[in-house]
Amino acid sequence: MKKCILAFILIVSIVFGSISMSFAAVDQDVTIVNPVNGSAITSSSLFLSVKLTQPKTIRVSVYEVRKATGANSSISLGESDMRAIIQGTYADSGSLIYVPLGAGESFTSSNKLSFYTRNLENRSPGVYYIKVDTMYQNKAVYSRKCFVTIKNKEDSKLFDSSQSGTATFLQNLIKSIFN
Amino acid sequence: MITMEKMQIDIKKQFNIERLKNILLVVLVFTTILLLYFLWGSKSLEAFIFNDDNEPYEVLSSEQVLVPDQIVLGGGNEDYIVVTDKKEELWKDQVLKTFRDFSKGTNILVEEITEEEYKDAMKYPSIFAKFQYNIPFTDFCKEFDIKQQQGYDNISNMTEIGFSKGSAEGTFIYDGNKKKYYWILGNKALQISDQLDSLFAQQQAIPYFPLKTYLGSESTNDTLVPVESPIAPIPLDYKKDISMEQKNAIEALAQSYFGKTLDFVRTLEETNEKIVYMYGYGQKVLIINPNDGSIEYKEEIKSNNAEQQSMFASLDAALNFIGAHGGFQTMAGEKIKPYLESASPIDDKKNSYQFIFGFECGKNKVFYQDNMPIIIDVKDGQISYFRKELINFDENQAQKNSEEERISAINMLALNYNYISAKAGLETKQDQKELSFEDVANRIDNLYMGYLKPAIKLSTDGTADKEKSLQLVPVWALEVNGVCLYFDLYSGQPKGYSKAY
Repeated sequence: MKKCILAFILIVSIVFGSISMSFAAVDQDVTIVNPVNGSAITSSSLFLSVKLTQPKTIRVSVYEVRKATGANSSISLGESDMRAIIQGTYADSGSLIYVPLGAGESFTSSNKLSFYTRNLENRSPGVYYIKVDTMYQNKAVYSRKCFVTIKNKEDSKLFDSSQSGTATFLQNLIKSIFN
Repeated sequence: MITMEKMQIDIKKQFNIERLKNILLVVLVFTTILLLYFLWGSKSLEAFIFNDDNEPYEVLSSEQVLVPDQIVLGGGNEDYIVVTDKKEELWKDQVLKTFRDFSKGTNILVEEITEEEYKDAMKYPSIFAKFQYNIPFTDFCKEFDIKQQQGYDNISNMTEIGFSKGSAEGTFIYDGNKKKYYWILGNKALQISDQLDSLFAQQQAIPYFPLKTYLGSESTNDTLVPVESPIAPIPLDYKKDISMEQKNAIEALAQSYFGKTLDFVRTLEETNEKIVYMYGYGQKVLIINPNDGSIEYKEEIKSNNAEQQSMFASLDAALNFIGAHGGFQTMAGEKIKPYLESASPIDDKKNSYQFIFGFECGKNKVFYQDNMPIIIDVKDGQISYFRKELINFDENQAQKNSEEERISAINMLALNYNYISAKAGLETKQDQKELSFEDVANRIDNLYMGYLKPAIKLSTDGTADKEKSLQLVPVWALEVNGVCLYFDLYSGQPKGYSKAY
């Protein structure tokens, strides 16, 4: 009987333990608001906004994810590569290198609600990885991750200037007469 | 012989009497005409009573005070710069000049666009001048020497005007009164569209992002919020404009309103140190209040002038009146550089306007918790109300910066959202639960930085403590639901609130 009870407790602790571990992997009080995980932006700057809903200390690290092509060479990645990395289907994951953009920045909040914000300017197109660690006694206890792709800007026009043709002019003229 | 001489004297006497009678008759006729002129023409004798030989005075033009509240440069990545340095130059040399040149072109079309299209234009490298009030567009074109193109008369008011790389041949205008957006299309690319990137880069300022970028998908608010506070001013000591010790100056001030002799003017000194000058039965009243250093003037409206008075005509009347009564300077002679903070019709009447003038301290806006620096009402071209409350401060101190750590705008909001919700009246009685941070943040209309002039506390007898030092406090100023709330720029702690103008 004792063995049965011990086995039951063991099974229960394994099952619930694993569930609690899976919950513990991310801190519910820390959210990366911007950028959205898996999104692609057409901007030369990367704006980070992290929301904290409890007094905590976090460390924010940003990396550019590149693919090594030789001992000292690497290439930047694109949006499809980012999707494959997130899904865990990237074929050559061993070749990925994470180039840190400066040292990780620490931020301590003493309020129930606060934001960590940072703007990284002059970013070149590529895939970026943002890691937010919740720190406790100088150790990272939880981690939030986010991938984002910076794409090249396409030269687009807001309005079609062909609208400035004579037909539109006449159309407007008639409109203004009858207005 | 004697009789002849006597007769001659009598005749001469008689002749003189007759001549005097004639003169008297002429005088009487002229007096009758003059009195009839006053009676039938409803003219007042005040003009004669108050007519003094005034010294020449400086009058500012409407162009000098009509400066946008904000000049926003778009970087093209949803990043913006709210210009503080050389704002006036950008307005006059870039925005206004470009629009003036643009309007000289031919085949110009005016098209109404959607709010989304207008906001999309701002996402490109762009420059937008934003006013806090609506300017009648036709009057604006006349005043600023802009050629009125066909179709311009479709635009009633101008609240914002700008140019975007998204449409290099176009100008964008927002009418805040009718909530309409316009795209005015020319037939050649504007020179400014090539300069937009360099104008942005030249500023080297802290970037601003729309509030929704900080808050994620739950937010829709486009209010621009800086990543960190771009300014670090120090608290600034100031002195009130008027004190009881300046007896001569106060009298000289009253003379500028009622004439040098102060004839027919009653003077009342109240227990709370206020001095009231009154002409007639309150036709003209001047109140000098040393407690807050203010001057308040009220005048009875003489006639109902049915003639249409444009906003600019009323503004010129206001500026002329201010110029004649001390101008934009303190009694100590310190000049301030004013800007038109608000222009709004009084009781929705077309001939009546209220103008509010503000000023900057260093390059920072000064917010008054009580009242405003200068308020003036113009009804039918006549000044009916005027209030001036200026301050003396050391301009050199205003240029100094603090090394102290400042709270960011987003964390100031996070720290105070319950206070904001309560003071701005966002919670309705139906709402049982507290509003979330995102709900409150979505209601924010504007965010500024500057100095707060806190309200002066009066004692029970209505007088102010003369020993207490007065200070301007560096603050975040937040406009929500018609209320302006102030928070310490360094600690984020609430510093009070007032009505937003």
